[in-house]
Amino acid sequence: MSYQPLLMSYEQAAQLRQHVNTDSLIGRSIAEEIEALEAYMPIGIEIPGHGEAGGYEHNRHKQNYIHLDLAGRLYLITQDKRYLDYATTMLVEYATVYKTLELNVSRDSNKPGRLFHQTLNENMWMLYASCAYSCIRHELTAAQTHLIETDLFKVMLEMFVVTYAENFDIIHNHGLWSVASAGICAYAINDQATVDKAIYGLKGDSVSGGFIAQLTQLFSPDGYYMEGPYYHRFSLRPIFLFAETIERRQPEIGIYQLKDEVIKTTAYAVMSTAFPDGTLPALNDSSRTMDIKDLGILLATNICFERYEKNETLLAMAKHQDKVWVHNSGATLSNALDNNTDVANFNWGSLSLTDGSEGECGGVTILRHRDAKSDDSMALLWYGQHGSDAKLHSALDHGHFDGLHLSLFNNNQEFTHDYGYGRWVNIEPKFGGRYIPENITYCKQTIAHNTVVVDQVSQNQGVTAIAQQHFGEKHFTILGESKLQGMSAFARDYYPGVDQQRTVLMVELAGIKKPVIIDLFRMISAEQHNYDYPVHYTGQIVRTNFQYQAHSSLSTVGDAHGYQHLWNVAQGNIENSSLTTWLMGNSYYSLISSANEHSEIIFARTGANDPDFNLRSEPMFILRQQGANHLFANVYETHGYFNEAIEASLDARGQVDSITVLHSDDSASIVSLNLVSGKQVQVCVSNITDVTDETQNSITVNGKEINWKGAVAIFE
Amino acid sequence: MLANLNSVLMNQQEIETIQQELGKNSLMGKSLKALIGDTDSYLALDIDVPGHSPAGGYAHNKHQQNYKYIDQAGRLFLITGEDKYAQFTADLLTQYADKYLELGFQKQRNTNPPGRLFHQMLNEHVWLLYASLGYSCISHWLSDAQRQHIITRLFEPMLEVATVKYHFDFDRIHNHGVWAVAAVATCGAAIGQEKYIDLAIHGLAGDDKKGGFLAQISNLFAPSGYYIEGPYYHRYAIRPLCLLAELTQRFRPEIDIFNFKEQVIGNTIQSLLSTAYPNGVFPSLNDASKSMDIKDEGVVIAVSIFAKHYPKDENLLGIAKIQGQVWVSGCGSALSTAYEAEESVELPCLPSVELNEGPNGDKGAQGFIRMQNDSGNISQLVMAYGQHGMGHGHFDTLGMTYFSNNQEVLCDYGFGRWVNIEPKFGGRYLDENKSYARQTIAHNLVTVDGGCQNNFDVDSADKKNGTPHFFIGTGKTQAMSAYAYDFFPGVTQQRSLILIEHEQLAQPLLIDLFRLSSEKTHQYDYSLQYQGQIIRHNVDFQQHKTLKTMGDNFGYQHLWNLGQAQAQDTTLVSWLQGNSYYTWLSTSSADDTLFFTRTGANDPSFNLRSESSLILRREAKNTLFANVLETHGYFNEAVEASLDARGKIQEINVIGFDDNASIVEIIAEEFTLTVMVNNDPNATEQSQTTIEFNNLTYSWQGFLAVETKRS
Repeated sequence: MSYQPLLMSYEQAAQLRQHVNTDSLIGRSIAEEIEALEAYMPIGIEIPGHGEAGGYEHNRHKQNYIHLDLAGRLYLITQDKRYLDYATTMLVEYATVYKTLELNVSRDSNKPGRLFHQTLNENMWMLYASCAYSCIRHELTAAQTHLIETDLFKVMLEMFVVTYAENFDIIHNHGLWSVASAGICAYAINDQATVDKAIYGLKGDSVSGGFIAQLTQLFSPDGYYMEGPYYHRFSLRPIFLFAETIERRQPEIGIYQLKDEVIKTTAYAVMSTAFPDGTLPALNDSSRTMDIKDLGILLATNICFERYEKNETLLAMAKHQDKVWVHNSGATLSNALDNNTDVANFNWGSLSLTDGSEGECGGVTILRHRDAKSDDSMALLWYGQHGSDAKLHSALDHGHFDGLHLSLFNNNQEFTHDYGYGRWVNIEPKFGGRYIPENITYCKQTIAHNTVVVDQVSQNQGVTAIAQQHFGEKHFTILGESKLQGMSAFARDYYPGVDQQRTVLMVELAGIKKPVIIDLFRMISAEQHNYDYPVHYTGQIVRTNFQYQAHSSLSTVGDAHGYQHLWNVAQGNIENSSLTTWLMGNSYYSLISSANEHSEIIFARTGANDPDFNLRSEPMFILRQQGANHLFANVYETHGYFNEAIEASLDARGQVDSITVLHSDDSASIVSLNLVSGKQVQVCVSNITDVTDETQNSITVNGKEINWKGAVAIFE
Repeated sequence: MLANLNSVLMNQQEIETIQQELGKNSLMGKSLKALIGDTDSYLALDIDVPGHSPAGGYAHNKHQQNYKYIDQAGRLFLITGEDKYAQFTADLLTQYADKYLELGFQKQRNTNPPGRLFHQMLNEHVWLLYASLGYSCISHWLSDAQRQHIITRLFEPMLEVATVKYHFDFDRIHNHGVWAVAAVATCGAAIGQEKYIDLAIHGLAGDDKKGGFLAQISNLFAPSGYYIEGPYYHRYAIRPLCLLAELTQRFRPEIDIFNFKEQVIGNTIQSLLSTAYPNGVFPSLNDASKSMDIKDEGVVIAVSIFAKHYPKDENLLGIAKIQGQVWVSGCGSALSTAYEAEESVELPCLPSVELNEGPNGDKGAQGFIRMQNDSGNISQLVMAYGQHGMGHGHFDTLGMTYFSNNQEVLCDYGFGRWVNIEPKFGGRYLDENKSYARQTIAHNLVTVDGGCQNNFDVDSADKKNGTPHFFIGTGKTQAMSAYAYDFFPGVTQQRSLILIEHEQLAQPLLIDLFRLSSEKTHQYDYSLQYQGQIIRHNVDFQQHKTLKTMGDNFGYQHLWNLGQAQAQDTTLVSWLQGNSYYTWLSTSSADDTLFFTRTGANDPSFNLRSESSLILRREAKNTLFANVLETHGYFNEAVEASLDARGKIQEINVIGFDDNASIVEIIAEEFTLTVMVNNDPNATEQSQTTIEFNNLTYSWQGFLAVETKRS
């Protein structure tokens, strides 16, 4: 077959031409790309030197490759010669200067490139430039082709494949970019030997390195990537671009079928963790705003739909993305959407994903619920392995000490959240846009999450090497569309001599509009400890049912493990049960919690010991209780409606009044929700390690025997 | 079809016009669709007529919803002809008639007397107005017995409470008084007792002076149409005002209400609209919510009324575009028709305007400057230099707010109130409204000696007003300047705000020259209320290990002192808000101190929002705070893009200032601006100023000159 562009044939380009200036999703997506390119071209071509992340030069190189790629692709589609000239000139100019540029200075343990301070960015540059090149190669003169291939692409390949050989085909997220960019570049210049290195590894064994080894080894059997969704989504782009190129050039490899369709499995794994508004949960180092509109997820949505299955959830995701990839797969998806106007919001349902290469390291469970008004609730319980994949170099230590963290979402917002990473990404005056020191001192620490801190020390002492030896274990899950869903997991020995079990139920209760979240956090220890249950909320405290003292001067809550960053704003003693209501956006949320003797609540705010204003100012509160074996029984109730603009407030008070622990030990936990109406709801959870649906539980509370079958029972 | 149709605000022809829009994609069609959807979901609930509760409590909310849907269902009955709407309206009104006289009066919670349904008569009037409108749409559908029951057990007793029991409060020349007369007139019209229309229009005394609608609209507004309490309360008054005006036109056309007193109705509607930010939200002048906007029902009604009764106005259509709806009425049809007749309607960029204050327009003014850049983005600058806003007034004369790149950047705290949130002090004004939100330090201006303007005394403040100096509202350099004399004893203040469109800058540049003069040394605190994250600064910042408050009184007790630093010659602080970077530069010296603060101290019930501010503190007699605020760059975390996180302006220097003039120079990498302002209160556009500072002579004509030098 004659040379074809890497990602679309000339014929497919001609087909896409039919969609230009149409109002379909593919038509609008093409129009957006044309608009972006037309806006960039008039500022002229400039090839700057080096700069900081987020600095001018860095941005310019990045913008250059983005628009170079657009120009190549759009030339094929529109046949507008200006795009051809633009792409040609830019490639020629880069080829002219590339060898003369010095290697940049690395700011961390990443290797430097000639254009960027880390090779990762340089890989991306090469990948996109190669795609563009493949689109216009047939229009270039022999001299131009020679210049671009010899003085640019071959020099780059030499640097990645030979000079940085030790990092080239490594089994890691960044390694995917490295092999994908080299493989794609090599295909573009017909260098099959390098293609083979990229696919099969430098050793050619498909085990020690290379694309196949990466795909086979990076993900758990459910496709989960240990660093979490934020880094995972970043790996989807090279995976799909490279896979699609391989499928076109060497279909005999059968890349999409590899390891039981691992490419699809791993794409679905990251997609299925998304909150109902499309943002990805901030597990480990992660931005709080990364979402399924990300380019990698967009590509994955389009290619999976084309190559794997015409799946309704993918269709719904495309509707949310409101954009398709400018590619024949995007046209397919766009046509499918045109024929399906009533696509509901995407819904991956309730599910668990295992972590660990054999699925042996715990995982994550997500409960989802859609109500009559199509509002989605979601609860996420994290109990996998530590998220640091530090094999490549130390800058990739992205794990947080956050075992048993819980994130809750409804009414289109995450109402108990994870701080995310400490980083002002690409904001050059903020530490060059890199991770800030507070990422380690606060964001990674246990107290920055919604999970219990023992004796004011982080899990595994906040030490990565210790944390890497621990992971959670699933106890049970109840998934589906019934009125009762649940998940329960253990984290053993994250603190010496302390085991933890968290059980989270999502329950529809009669007379309460939104499902309530019942959270039973059980501490198991022979020794007395201080247990802090933090709640990271957003918004304004509306009421409490207990007295507290607002401090007249503020000190920190503690000195280490993240506590040094928390101002102690107010404090109160709790007896029996506490209720705290806050307003976030248009919703009220109440947390009703059990308490034992000498229980306290501390209201805190981030910002202490933060001399550079690196942390966002966020409120939180801590339920502080002492005990050996101890149960935190909590219920989160969502209620009412507030709209300041139209001055409407409904049901600012919820219906749950208090919660009482009736029983808690290794056999079971039984609590009572006491409603304002006087009604009581009894919640029974089996703590027996190998509980099944058939397990018979029998517990005597206050002389009365309570019997139920299976993991959970609710008696209204 | 309906010979005996008696609806107060819709005639047969109007009904038919509206009917034609059902199912269409016109503004009226969309408004109808929304109205039907909203009403139908309420009809699906069980009818309930409860007793009493505090604001935001169940009963209060239910009564509010009930009147809203009585009106909506009434109108929809006429438009759709569906009996279910009439039935619902009839059932609800009948139940109110059954119950109304059985309910005792509520307990009085504030100066507003209590009603039977609500704790203040204000709400009761609103109820009466809407219930009367709804009734008038279905009265022909009711039996005689039903009509008599509703009239004698509900409406007549309510009219009695409004006009007899609380006669002293009925026709007052006040915001709330407009609701009272509108309710009474509407009810009178609905039940065919027209004497109430005349009482309402001409007042109990019948003299058009002591009270009544005509007296109210003659006296409530300045010649500019501005309402003293500010846009938040203005938009609330404009709803009954417009409804009653429409009623007056129908029942007493001889008054020619829409031309009354040089078209005061149209004038005050325009005045209200002209205060709004580009996103439709009203600046929070005085006690005000931060989210009240032109989609408010009163404003929607006002815009529809204006479209029907006044000449065509392009900006009005743009405002309707933001509103995305019209009032479902004959007036709304007029607006919808005008809107649909246009090929395309652009979002409005309202002109810059100075709205005078006081009955004769001589009590200062409120200034609004707008500037639109090449990409259509509108910046808006607001300065308050008029009267004190009475009981709702904030002590913020010469205060400013600034809106740039789709958001308020230099903010006003707004009111201290969680409106209608019952667990928050019954949804009423909080103590912190007085102790913080209304204090000078909660605004963007200078506080002298840690105090408050007029010592937080309403009576003293009511007697003062700002003094306008100049207002330049067109062109690439726009500006306003005003004085405040003796708001702090012995201190004269002048603020000049300048907005410059410069070819080197993507967004307009804000220059703020705040001058104070006094014979004695004072502590001057120049404060800015910002939102977002500090990105960089050029001071040696020392964060405190333990946080203490900034002071003990006048709002300072609510501010945590996060840390402080010695100021630089040009002090620079840059922050990120949303997708934009903002950099503030201020002339200062090592003798000045920059404080970073956050609200929340002495706030035992979490009543205050947690917000940040900067305070530049200086000891001086005569001084000029010369500031520049640059809007620059772009940040989008989701796509991890950051551009131009550093601005272009590098320095601002005071060349000189005195009672005659202020000269400052602003230095950027590629240019230098020299800004020259005439400070003489007697200056005119023709004034020639020549002044020498540091052996250099500066000359210009008029109030202001800005020169650019390339460097």
